[in-house]
Amino acid sequence: MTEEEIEKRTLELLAEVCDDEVVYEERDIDLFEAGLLDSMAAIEVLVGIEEAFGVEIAPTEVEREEMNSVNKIIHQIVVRALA
Amino acid sequence: MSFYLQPSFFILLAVAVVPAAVLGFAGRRIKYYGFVASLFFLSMLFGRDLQGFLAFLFFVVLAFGVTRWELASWKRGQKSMAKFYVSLAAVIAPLVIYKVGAVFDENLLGFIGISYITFKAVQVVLEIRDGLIKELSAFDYLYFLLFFAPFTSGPIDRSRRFSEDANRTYTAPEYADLLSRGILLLLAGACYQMVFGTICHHFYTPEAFSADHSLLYNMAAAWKDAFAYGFYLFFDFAGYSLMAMGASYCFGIRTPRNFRAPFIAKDVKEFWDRWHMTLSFWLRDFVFMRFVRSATRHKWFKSRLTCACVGYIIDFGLMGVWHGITVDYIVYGFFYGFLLAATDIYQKKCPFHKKHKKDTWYKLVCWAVTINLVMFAMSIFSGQAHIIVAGLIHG
Amino acid sequence: MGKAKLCSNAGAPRGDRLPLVRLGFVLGACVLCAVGLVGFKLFGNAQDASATSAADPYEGLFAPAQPSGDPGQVNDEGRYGRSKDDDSRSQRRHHGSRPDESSPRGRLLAQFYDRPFYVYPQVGDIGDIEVLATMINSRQDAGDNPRLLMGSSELSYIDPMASHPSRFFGEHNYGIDTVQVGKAGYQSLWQAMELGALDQADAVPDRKVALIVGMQWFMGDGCTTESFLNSFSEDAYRRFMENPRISEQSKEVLRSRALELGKGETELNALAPRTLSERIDAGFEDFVSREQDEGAVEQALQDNVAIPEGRFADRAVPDWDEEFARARAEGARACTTNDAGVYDEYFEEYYKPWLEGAQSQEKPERFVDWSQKELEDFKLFLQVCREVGVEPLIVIMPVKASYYDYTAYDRESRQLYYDLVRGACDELGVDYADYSGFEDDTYFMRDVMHLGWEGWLHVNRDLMEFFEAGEQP
Repeated sequence: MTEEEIEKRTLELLAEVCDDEVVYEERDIDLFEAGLLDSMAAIEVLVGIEEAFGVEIAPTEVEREEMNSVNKIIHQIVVRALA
Repeated sequence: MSFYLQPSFFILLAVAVVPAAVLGFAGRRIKYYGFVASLFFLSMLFGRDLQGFLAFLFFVVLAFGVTRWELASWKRGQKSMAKFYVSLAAVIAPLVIYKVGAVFDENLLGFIGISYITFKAVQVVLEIRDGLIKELSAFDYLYFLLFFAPFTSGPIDRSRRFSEDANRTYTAPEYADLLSRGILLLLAGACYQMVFGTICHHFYTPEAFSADHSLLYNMAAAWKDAFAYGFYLFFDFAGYSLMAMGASYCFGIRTPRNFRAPFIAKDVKEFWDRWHMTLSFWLRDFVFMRFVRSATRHKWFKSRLTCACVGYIIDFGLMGVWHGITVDYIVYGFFYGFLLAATDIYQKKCPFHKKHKKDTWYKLVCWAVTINLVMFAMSIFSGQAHIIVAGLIHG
Repeated sequence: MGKAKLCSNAGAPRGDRLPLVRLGFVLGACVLCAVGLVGFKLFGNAQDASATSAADPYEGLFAPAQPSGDPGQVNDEGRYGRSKDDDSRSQRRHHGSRPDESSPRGRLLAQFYDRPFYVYPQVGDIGDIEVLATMINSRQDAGDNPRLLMGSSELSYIDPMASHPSRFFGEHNYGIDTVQVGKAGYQSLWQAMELGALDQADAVPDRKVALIVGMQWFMGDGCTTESFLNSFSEDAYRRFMENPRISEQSKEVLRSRALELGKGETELNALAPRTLSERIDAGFEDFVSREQDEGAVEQALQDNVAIPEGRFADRAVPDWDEEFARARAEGARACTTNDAGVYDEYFEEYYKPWLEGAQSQEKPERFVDWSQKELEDFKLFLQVCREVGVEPLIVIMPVKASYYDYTAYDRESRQLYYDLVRGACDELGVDYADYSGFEDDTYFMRDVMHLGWEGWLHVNRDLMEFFEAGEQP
């Protein structure tokens, strides 16, 4: 799996969970502040990540600041998937 | 002695903070002294209640034992799921027995703080299994369970975060910052609970619908009582939480907050991000998460949305039952469960919402609807709704 | 996603002095508030206390204490007109008589010693044991010879008859005076608590007490929650529990009875603290509620009345024949509308209407279940007396037979009650004055249940004998 693939599938996942295509454009906004994600949706994202990439990230493993934008999420997955 | 209520607690707390402050300013670890202070305060807490104290001892010994057992298995690499399940059942058992016993008016294994200490013990067992806790010394574990400040009613902390704080040292400016915040939090909490909470409680006069008044009057009065109770509960519980945070800060532990202006929430999902946050997050991280993950792995549901909705219902249903196995609490829990599910469906599927969700007027309407739903839920929780419904049935 | 940290590390440690300065302000503010509150408490009270200016009931009654060159009038020793043959000062010194005048409260209480007083209308209204004890001790110091008379509603009066102890002993000098402790609704349990408390405050003169027991106490199931909670004196409970002479067992009995009758455990723990936190809470409460304590003393001073002039006469012995004749006449004057010996107002309002109904109705079932709980409370009183070394006299009051014979409490029923009380006294080796034989006497009781014109005379005579009024130290 390459970084591009990870990026593509992550965007699909996020668009579905956030129910908003804006994630494709705004890669660095805080998704929680923007109201696109809330705590429960975040769980769905983590589960979706596990399903799509086989990467397990526990909800208490990572600080919110480290996973609150599209690019940061992609980064966390890449770091674990390609490690 | 009740914590945060009687003068003796505050006087003893003030005295107890002095050595903590000395250690803090000196750049030393406070945890060893904090542990001793906690033992002292817990002995004061149980006072003349011998039965409660024994139940508490039993729980601590049990939780400690199974946790070490499980941790040993994981450290060895054995990772026995059987041991995990046994440990989990063991730490949950006392609370379940107590809650079930309460239905029959029996006090079995109950002690003050049992509900909250169970959360902590369960969290450790789960995170060991998840591999997030690879190491936990006996002392750190016990300190986490027994730290007196949030012992009686939370906020519910997490062991890794707690131990990190417990094991660190602060520079003098850092500790000064903590101590002043701690004192201010204690004062603010005391003000919330003793002044505002009492005032609001004064306005809470629940009663059944009376035939002497019109239906409109009865409903307006009930509405008033629901709001009064909601604000009373907020000030009372938020006040307590602030004081618990304040006392923690003085001991170098930055116990997380429980409330973040809950009544400005624009929907119930946001409400639970602002109200009793540590409880809601705990349930989210350990119940909702696990359910959604299992459901997704085994493909129980066709859509992610359905899965999330069922997750909400289970998550909040459990919350209701955790409060107590009574009609009021169970209805309360499932009410929120269904409400959250409905909110999620509405937000994801309704075009009207998507179109207007950035409009100010729409946000105001959402806020108004939300706060009324929340206060209605409060009336279930307080038993007011029960009184009214019973009155209507029998009247 | 985890929770965002509240106190993020990125913010605080700038390594500068600002947090320390801020902490300094916070601590300073706290200390100032605390000092202010404490100071206000301590010094504010002192101001209030010294500003007390009650009307002086002693105005013009006697000259302020001077070295007296004129025996027979007021002198330092016997303000109450004791003959100069007697030993000047009562040698029966009691512990800690004069209050410590370093506190505002002490200064107030000391005023009682300078001007011993009667409290009118009712001593029973004084809930503060220290005030009561000071009153008793100051009068004892001045030679008034007060003796403890405990009871309930019969002690209360609005316009007392001549034979009522407040007038009989109060307006004459028959050697002793009475301090009447108790009000309507105060039953055995209250009496036991009060006695234990008075003993703790060293306020039981001559180590003797007379208790007038009422039949009504034993009706129903004894003391009701309502009357107990109404009559409950925190001060008395606290002192009872602090009394070293009372056994742990008796204290436990009182505590469990109080809980049974509706007192909250937290409140009882606060009054009789055992654990460290309870002690701190109690101490804090004391500090905070000090202001009210002086209020009780000030109120008592306000209620102060001048001592009746009769107390300054030479000591006399009552002419019982004359007293009984006078009592009978007074009774006859008060009961013009009936032959039962019930005073007119009562007769009109209660007795006559009842009489009209009762004689036509069927007599109700005889009451035989005199309250065992009240009996246990009564035995507690006797037990406490024994433990602290006080000799009691139980005055067994009768009732008006002409009324009660028509109720569930008929003659046989009442005999059961009398036997019960006498039996308890015998069991614990206590003396009693049994007036059950006077049920049919016209003027013994002034209405259906309260001592009257002749009744009080009988009681007074026995009190004088019990308290050895004739034999003075």
